[in-house]
Amino acid sequence: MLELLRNAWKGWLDVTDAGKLGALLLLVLMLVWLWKLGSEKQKDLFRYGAVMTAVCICPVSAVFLMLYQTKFYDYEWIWTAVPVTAVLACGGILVLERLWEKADGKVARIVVTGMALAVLLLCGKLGNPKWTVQDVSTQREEAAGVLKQVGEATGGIGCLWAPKEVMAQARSLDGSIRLLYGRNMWQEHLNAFSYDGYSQDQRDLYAWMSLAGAYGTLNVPVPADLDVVGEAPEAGGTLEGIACIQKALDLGVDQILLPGILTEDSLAEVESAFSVVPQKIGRYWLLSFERKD
Amino acid sequence: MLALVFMVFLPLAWLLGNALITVLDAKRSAREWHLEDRVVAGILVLIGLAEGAYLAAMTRGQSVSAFTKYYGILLIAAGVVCGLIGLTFAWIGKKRGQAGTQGLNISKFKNIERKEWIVILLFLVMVLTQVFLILLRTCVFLEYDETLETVVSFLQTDRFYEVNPLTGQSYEQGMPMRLKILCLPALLAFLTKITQADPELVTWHVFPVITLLGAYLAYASLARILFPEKRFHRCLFLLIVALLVFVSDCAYGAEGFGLLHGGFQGTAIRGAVMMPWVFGLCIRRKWLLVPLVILAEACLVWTLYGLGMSALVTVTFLAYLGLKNMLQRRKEGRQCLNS
Repeated sequence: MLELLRNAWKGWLDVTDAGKLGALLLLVLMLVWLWKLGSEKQKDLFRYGAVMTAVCICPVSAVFLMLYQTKFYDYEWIWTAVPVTAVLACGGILVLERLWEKADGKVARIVVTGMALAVLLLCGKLGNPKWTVQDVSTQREEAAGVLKQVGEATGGIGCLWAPKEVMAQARSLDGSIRLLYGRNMWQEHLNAFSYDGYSQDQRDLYAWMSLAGAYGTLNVPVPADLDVVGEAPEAGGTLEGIACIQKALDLGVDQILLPGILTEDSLAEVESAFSVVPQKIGRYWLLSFERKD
Repeated sequence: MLALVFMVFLPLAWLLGNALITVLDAKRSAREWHLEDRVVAGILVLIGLAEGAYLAAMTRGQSVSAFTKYYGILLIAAGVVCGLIGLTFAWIGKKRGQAGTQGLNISKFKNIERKEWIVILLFLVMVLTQVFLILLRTCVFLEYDETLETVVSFLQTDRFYEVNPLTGQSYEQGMPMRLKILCLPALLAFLTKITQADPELVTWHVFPVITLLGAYLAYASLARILFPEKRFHRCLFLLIVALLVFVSDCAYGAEGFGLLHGGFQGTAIRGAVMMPWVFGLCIRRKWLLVPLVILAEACLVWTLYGLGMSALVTVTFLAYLGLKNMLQRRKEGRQCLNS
């Protein structure tokens, strides 16, 4: 319960960090109340909006709403019950109308309108990078190109193990590809969609692939601040590339894309250990094994 | 493809919504319900039909192709039945000399003032910008979503949830039934299958445009309720809503964020289409259509055994109205005593 209360409070802080629409909502509600604005139907909307806003801000009542909407959804979604856009638009018009009445002359009205518009725009994102969504079309094109080349080189992709950027796009680009692990390996919330989990071996392999792409070597040290979902490999230890590749083969992988940054010595080591010649595919090295299915 | 979806689905939605509203509220149908209400109601009926067809196929272990067939048949049958209902009621209304179904009335456009035209123009520019942003960019927020992978898996295997959409491997322990029963991925698979288009195009670009347009229809309905006599205010309301869609593109969970980066998600449809419409229904005290929204929500998002946000909004609104009536009666009683 305490954890839920903490989440509810943190959720409100997060909401107000990203934009100031919550503050604008409270301001509009206050002005329409003080100036007694609105018809009966509009007042119904404002009163309901005010009650639900209070319920969402107060951590204790917010917890009950969070429980009601099931724990699957985060704090942000309880605000669905608050008519934020409707109150802001309707209240905004009434407040603006009152200000227009008070403004003397056409110029003053234009200034009032401009300032109201500025207030609205300033309540938005203002470049908050936390929720900036990047265009992924280039990443998808690159991944599609790599997968196409892998398919041509191997006569069809079976079970693939590759760096994160390829794994993230593979399944949505081609439904016939199987992956050693999916996006839920690093995007924790996606685990709610399935009861299945990953073994420690799979998590180690994800960690190894990420670290090999950063260090450019087969044997990689595990840092203390490794960001993985679930239990991380032991910090300070070393993940050995040959052992990891063997583990992946044991788990049924048919094709492996290694980061292109790996040194020639590392590749020679892989070649001698598995009797397979790495092929250069874009920014990656492809190891293709006999398909097991 | 895009044109096909709009040319078939929006008129079909209107047809279904029109029949439903005419049957449920025949007396006040023409006066109190408008084009936007009918289309939004129709969209919710389309979701309900999809859920019916999906459950029929999924629970019996049938294929995605079977679902496509069921849903196609249901749509045709519903279209024919609702068309006949609409025609019958229109004929009865004409015979009795009542006004017909409210639709596009060209004469209304003749007496629009200049300032209204300016606001309408600005609104259209903003909506078109949003449509182009959704269609041309691939700015989708995927951290909590696997819809596209699910649609691709459905189409690849021709089965529902035979493999884990994120890995393509068979499930070991399965997935929660409460998620499995949601019909949105199946609906997207249906659209992809019948249009033979790229799943990414349908899921990330075309469907979010439908959601965006549905949201503006719901807000247009709300605008008519809040400003029944003032057309300029209605136009201004929609312009501010369009502006707020851009401004509220500030955080996950916000309405603008959902519409611009996740219009294919159930939560975005709920927040931007269902909720404004349910607010409108509650303000108008039109309780008959509220169950439709509650059911449609349960078809799209994980709810507490079918009780979602629209149920909560309705109950809260009913409690508010009850309290308001009680206070009003007490006030009137006091006034009587004083006089």
